[in-house]
Amino acid sequence: MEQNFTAHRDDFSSVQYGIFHSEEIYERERTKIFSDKAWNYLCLEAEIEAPGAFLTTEVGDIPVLVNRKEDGEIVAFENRCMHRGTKLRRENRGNDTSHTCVYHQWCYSLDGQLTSVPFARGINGKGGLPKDFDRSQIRLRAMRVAVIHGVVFGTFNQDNVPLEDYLGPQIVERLGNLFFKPIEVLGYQRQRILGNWKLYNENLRDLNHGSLLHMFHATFGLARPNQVGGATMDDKHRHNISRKVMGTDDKTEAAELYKDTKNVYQENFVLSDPRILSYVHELPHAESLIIASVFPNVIFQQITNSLCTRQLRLRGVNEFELYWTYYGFKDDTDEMRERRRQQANLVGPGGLVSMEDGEAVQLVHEQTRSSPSSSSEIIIGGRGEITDQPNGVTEVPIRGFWSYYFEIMDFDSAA
Amino acid sequence: MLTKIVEFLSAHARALDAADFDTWMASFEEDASYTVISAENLKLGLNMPLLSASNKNMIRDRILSLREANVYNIHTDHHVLGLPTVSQAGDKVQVNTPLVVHQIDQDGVATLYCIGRYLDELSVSEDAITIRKRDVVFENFGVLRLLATPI
Repeated sequence: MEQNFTAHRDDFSSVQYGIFHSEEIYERERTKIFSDKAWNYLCLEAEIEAPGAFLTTEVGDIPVLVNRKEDGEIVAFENRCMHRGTKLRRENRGNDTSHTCVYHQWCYSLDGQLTSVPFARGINGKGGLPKDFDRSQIRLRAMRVAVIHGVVFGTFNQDNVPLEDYLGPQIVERLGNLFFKPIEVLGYQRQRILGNWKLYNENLRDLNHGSLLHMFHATFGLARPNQVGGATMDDKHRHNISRKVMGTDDKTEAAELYKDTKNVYQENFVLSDPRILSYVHELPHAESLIIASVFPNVIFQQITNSLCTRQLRLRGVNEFELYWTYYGFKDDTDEMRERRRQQANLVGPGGLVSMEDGEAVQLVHEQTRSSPSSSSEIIIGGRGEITDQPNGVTEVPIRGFWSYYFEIMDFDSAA
Repeated sequence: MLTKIVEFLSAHARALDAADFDTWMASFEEDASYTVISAENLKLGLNMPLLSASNKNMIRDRILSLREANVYNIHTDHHVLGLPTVSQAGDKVQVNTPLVVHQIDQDGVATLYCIGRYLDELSVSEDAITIRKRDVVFENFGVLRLLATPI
C-alpha cells in the first residue's frame, strides 16, 4: 500500500475513522497481523483432549484446523487442501485418524503430511500424477503452535518471538490465575456484531465505558470507577488487563460520583432474586473482575465467577463474530456449576453487562462510515505517554492498542 | 384443549410483539423457569444458556433490567408461531411449538432474527393456562447483534 494511514497525534489520542472502513486496510491486516507477526488465540487445550481430536477455528478470517496428534502434541494448519484450495475439514469439531479432502480425496496425516492421492498412477499408464510428483513434499501450511496454561495460540510467522515474550509477564501471570487448575468447557455463545473488529478491541480497553454504558455494573457494584483496580499493560501496550475488586468502594461515594449521569447508577434498582450476583472468591488473585485483552483476537474474562474466552472471528470490514467459550473447573461443586450457569446471564449476546457493547460498536461503525477523515478523541486518562492506570476513569489502554497496531501495520504515527 | 392452547400461545406471543411485558410475565407461574439456549450447546450436551431465569422473580428482574438498564438496538419484534405438537401425561401438558422472530427497525426494515422452538410445560385448567417451564431453543445460534427482548 502506497499511502500510509495517519493518526492525527503521535500519542494516539486521535485516530481517523476511515481506519474502521477501508477494504485496503482490512487486506493489510490479514497480511501484516494475522498471517504474520501476531500470536493468535486458537482454542483451549481442554477442547481437544483426546488424541485425534480436532476443531476448526479462525485467525482473523483465515480458517484454521487444530488437532491433537497421536503423541499428544497439538498442531494447527491453514484449513486448506494443498491440491485445489478446498476447505479440508468442514466440521466444527470431531475426532479422526487423518484428514481427507472431500473434493478429490487427498488424505493428510494428523501431522499435516500428504499421505495418499487416489488414482495416482492413472489407468494403464495414462492420467494420474506426473512422475516427478513427490508426495512427501506436500504438507499443509502449518502454524507454529504454543500452549500456555492450557490456552492454545498459533502464529503463521515461524520466526516469531516466543509466545511468552509476545504476551509479556503480566498476561502470562493472569492466564496462570484464570486457568489455575484443570478446566472443562461449559458451553459456547456466538454473536454477530455489525462493526469493525478494532472497535471491539477499543471497547475492551476502554475502562471508562464499563461503569457508564453498563448500568448494571454501576448499580450493583460489579465495576465502579472508585473501586480498587486499574489497567496494566505489557511493555508494548498491545495487551491490557482491566482489573476491579468488588466491595472496595462505598455507595455514598458512588452516588456522588454518578451525580452527573443519567440512569446509570440507580439506587432504587433492586433485584427480586439477586443470585446472579452471588460471588465466591476462587482464583489466586484479589480481583473479582478481569478483562485481559490480548492483541489481536482474544480476551480472557472473569466477571465474578463467570469465566470465558471471547475470540474475534472477522467477517470483513463491517462485521465480526464474537465466539464465547465458557468454562469452569473440573473439580467444581454442583453449587459452583449452577452459579456459573446463573452468572451466564451477565455475559454473552444476552448478558446484562455485555449486550450493550454490541450496540455501541455498531453505533460507532454506522455513524463513522460517512466521516472517514474525522477522528476520535481518546483523551480520558490523559495525553502523552502511555502508562498503566490507577483507576477506571481511563481509556489510555486504547492508545496502547493503536500504538502497537500502527507498529505492526507499518503505519506512520506522526501527522 | 388444542384450541385453547393455540389461543394461549398466540396471545402470549402477541404480548411480546406489543412489548407488553406485564401481560407476557403474567402467564408464568411463580416457580416457572424460562431459559433461552442455543441449539449448539444442546447438541453438545452443554447446559449453558443465553439467558435463564429459575423463577418468576428472575423473569421480573430481566424485564426490569430491559426497561431500566439495558441499551440495545431499537426495534419491534414480530413472532410467527408454527403448529404446536401437544402431549399430555397426567396433569402435565407438554407443547412443542416452532417459531420465527423477525426484528423490524425504526425505518421499517425487517431482519430474520430467530428461528427456534418453544418447549413448554403448561398447566391447563378450566379457566386459565399458565407456564411452568419454557425452554426456547435458539436454532440459528449465531445471534445477530445481541439478545435483549425475550423470545
